[in-house]
Amino acid sequence: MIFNEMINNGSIRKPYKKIDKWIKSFAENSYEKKHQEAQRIFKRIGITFSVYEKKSPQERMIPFDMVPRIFTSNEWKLIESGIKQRTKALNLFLYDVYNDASIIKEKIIPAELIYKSRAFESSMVGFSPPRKIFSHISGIDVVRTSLNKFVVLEDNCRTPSGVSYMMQNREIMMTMFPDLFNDNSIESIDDYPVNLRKMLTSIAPASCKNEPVIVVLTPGSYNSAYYEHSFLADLMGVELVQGEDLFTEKDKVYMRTVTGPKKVDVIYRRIDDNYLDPLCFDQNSLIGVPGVMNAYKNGNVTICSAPGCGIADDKAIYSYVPDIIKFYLSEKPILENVKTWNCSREKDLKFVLQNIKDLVVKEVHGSGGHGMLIGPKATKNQIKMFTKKIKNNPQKYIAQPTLDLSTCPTYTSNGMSPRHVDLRPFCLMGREMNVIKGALTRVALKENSLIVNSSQGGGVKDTWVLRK
Amino acid sequence: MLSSTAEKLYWACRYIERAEMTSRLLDVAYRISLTNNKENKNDEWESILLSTAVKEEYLFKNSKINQRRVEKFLFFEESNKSSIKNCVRFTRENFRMVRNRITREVWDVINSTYQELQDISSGRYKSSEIPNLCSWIKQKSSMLKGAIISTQLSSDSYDFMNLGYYLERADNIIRFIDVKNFISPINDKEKENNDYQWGILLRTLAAYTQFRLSYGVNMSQDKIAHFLIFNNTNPRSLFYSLENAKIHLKNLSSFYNLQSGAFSTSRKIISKLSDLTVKEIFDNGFNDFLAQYSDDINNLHIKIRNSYFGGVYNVFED
Repeated sequence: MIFNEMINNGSIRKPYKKIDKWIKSFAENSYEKKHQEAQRIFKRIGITFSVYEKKSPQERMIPFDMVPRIFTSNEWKLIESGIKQRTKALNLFLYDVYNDASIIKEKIIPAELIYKSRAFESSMVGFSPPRKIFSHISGIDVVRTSLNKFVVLEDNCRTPSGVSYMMQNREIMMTMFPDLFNDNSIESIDDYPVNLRKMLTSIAPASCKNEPVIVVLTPGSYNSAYYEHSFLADLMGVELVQGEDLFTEKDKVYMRTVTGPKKVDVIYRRIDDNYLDPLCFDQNSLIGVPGVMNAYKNGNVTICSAPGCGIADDKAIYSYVPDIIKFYLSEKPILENVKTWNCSREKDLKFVLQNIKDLVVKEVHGSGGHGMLIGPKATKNQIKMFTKKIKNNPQKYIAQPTLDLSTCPTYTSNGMSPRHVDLRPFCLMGREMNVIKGALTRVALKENSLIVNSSQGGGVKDTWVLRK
Repeated sequence: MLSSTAEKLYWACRYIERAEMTSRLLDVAYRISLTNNKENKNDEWESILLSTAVKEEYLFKNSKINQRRVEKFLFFEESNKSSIKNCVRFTRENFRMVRNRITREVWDVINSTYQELQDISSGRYKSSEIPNLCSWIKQKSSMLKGAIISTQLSSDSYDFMNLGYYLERADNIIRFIDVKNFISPINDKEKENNDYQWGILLRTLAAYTQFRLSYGVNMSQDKIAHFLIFNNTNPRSLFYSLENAKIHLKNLSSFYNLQSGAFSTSRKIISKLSDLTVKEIFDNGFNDFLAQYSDDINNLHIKIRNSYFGGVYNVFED
């Protein structure tokens, strides 16, 4: 039974009552007009992401759906405490993995799962970043499967994106429907950039005595999330830089300015580990900063998030997160995991191959909904192909049951209709821990589709947390 | 400010100024073509390729010069780095990379211009629409300038943007003057035709009435040269452009409290120009004058680059 967030047991749920009225108040066709207007605003502001087609970058817009997704303050409390717990545990795990490795010594997680992972960064071994935090910004994907059940679909500990959409969705809703915000008591999300800046300030190297100089490091304007990079730099009031704007000298990082070099203290990087420093990682990288890792390890600059963070959101580690929470916090996980079979285990592999047509199979290192098989929707041929792939490379795959993602009313060419949604809340971890009271809701616009990724036709919704 | 930010602001404005100038030239060529006699029908199309400095590129792609192809090449051609469409794209791309330095108003103008231009197909427009397309670009360029003037802070960003505008304009004026009809010796028979063409040229610079106000109804080579080179009230004269570049370089020097090599270079160029007269220019050879100042402008560009865009070893003293 799929949970509909607006209509439960035939009646409109309380948090959605006003929205239901609002939807019904639209005269015929006027909703379509408003819908078009919203898309136009997005286009005018230039909120786009890039996709590569025919080898050249094309700018695309993410379709915006006007019907908001709503959480009560109690529901949010549950999500927030679960996200905080998980982020805290994953940071303790990261520090441990690169230092004492007690979780491995205690045989809670098999050593090869960590040391053989591509995401494990050997150059970080023995390093203690400021405040012992590795993953300062997490975007943990959550889905709702019933009235009271929220489960974690995947962890994103590196550089989760989407927060700019969360903010722009709100901006557009407030511009177009100010009355909605008078009628409903909705938590504000405006302070995210301020909190982000505070967090980045709080992780400056100990050697930095003055107000730290912070930069956002982007791969450039052709990156799919470039809009977000410039948006965040803008709202935080810091420089947006590319690799070529930075250089190192005597293990310190400087940016090139019109009046000469200026020392940089904190780098919020939005480029992958591999490209960060050609002297340390991929030597062919043109978008990185040669020498930045040495500056980092000498305590002259802080990199957010720390290289090697990816080991915590690796899909193969995912199934161990409940154990990780127990091990470091002696707590029960507040948010459950989806049951996961690791094909690297023989028993799991056997089960997956037998039940593949009922399962979702994912590549351990895949992302963006690529390299994925949804058993119940797959053709015989696709199943045959995937079975072969899994047999050839079992450690590359995990499988999960298909989830009954909840639905939200969404505007379609046939009027309002339920569509599946997920949720990405954002958590900041510096001196304090902070979950923004709002999130990015992604919606699968195709009927019955479970794939919400923007690169595959997903849309977004404004997400409300109601005040008590 | 990041060196690369300054450089992007500078180039964004150079490109939009270039787009505007190309529109103006395209408009002139189109008007001349309407009244030209049939034999030298394609002369104006050749001279516009020369004055936008893309003749070689054009001939690389096209075997002969004709109106339709030149229009398309100057307005839409992908491979022509200075085509209007590309200039608008580069302006937007540069501004997009420094979004946090420009106001929402500035971004709105360039972004909507770019989006609308994407919808105009190079295959479908009619030649008769060229004047409309050109005036549309001129309008958008004015709107952008207006947004910059009325919403940007008068700080270093503003100076770098203006430097881009004035350097590009100075450079364009040199090439604009260089169209062959203007400098060729004139006999009486050709005089009438020249008056007509000068008239069009002035109209294109939106300066027909202004010219008459200052110089009277009779046009002459000397007057036109004075108007385009020395007139310090004409926003499209060489002197005016260089003088303003100097002012913005001076602003930057005081803003950063650092004397730049670029500023002293601009001062030298201006004082050299002030010492000249139209007569001397013609006596010493018009072509030499144009070549000399084209070099000077390029040299000034290099000095600006060395002073502000290097980022590590900035050269502040000459």
